[in-house]
Amino acid sequence: MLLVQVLLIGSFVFVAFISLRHRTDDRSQALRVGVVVSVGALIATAVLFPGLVTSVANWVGVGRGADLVLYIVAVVVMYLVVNTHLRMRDIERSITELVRQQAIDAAERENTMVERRSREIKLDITEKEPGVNPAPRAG
Amino acid sequence: MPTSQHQQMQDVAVVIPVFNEAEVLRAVLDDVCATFPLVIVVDDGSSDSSKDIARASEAVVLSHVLNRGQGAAIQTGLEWALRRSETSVVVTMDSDGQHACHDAVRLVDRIRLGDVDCVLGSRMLGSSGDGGATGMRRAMLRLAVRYTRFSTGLPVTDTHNGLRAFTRETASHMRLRHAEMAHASEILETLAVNRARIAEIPVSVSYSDYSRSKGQSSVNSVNIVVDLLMR
Repeated sequence: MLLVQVLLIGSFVFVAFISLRHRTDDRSQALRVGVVVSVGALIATAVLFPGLVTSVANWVGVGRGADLVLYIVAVVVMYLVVNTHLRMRDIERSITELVRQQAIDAAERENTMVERRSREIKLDITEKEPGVNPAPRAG
Repeated sequence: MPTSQHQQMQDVAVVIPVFNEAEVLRAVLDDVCATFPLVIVVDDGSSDSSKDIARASEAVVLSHVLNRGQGAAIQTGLEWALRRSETSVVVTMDSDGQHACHDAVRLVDRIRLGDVDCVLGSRMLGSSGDGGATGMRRAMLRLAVRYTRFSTGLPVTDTHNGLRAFTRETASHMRLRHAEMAHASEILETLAVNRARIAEIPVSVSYSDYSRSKGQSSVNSVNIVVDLLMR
């Protein structure tokens, strides 16, 4: 085996290991294992038998195998960028929703506090009204 | 202090989104609070003393702990306004002093005639002119108007004027999700989708050096268009 083949396959195994270590829910974990195994098989085949990739490239109308790989990588990167963008947008919207809810809740709380206080003040006044000026204590 | 004008405006809520406007905010709020009994200031995470100035006024203050953009702030204000059952008209207004309070009153008077669901202030109508907008700004506004007419079919003459009045029902249709300036187009789109009947009336806009320095640069219109297309 060539050194480059060892390095490529080794780094794939490393990345696959890291991505599978963080277990989420069962369904998406199963899906991820499926994706990792099939992509891994593809990469291993391409790395171990470079001629195979070139013949596939020729078949679809691309000169060299490496070029075909480059094009595929470009598409994958574009997909990832769009995907990340959409996810970030969703996260931004969630943050906005949170901030809004917090602002409304805080104002609501303050509102009821002000109302309660003004009610208490009114109560105070009515209670004290009969004897606003209590007679000075004889000293 | 309730004035006679307050009584007439009992069912109106004025929403003012604020982001770092400490310099002019007090004057703006004093003016608006004298006319309208319910003024809702949404402080959009200002880093200056805007929030304290707003709190010292008679306005209700909602504060975003993080800056989420003018559209988000308006949406927060709308939601608060609609929680109050007496609210039948909601007005939005900028906080930088470019809008005149008496124009807001005219918008409310117009919507009270009952034949429209939304009244928009326009800089382009009538004798008000565009209040001394610079050439570049005027060109940019025209472009925005053409794009909006094309995309919404609404015969508006001004698309990015922050002075608007909505009926309760129309305001309740708003779900502004564009944080930045594209929310102005988003409002118009919501109006178009809900087949709201709209009217425009000329309003004066004073572009002081202050508001000009705060206003968005014309370059940003590119971003607005991209935002709208990328949804």
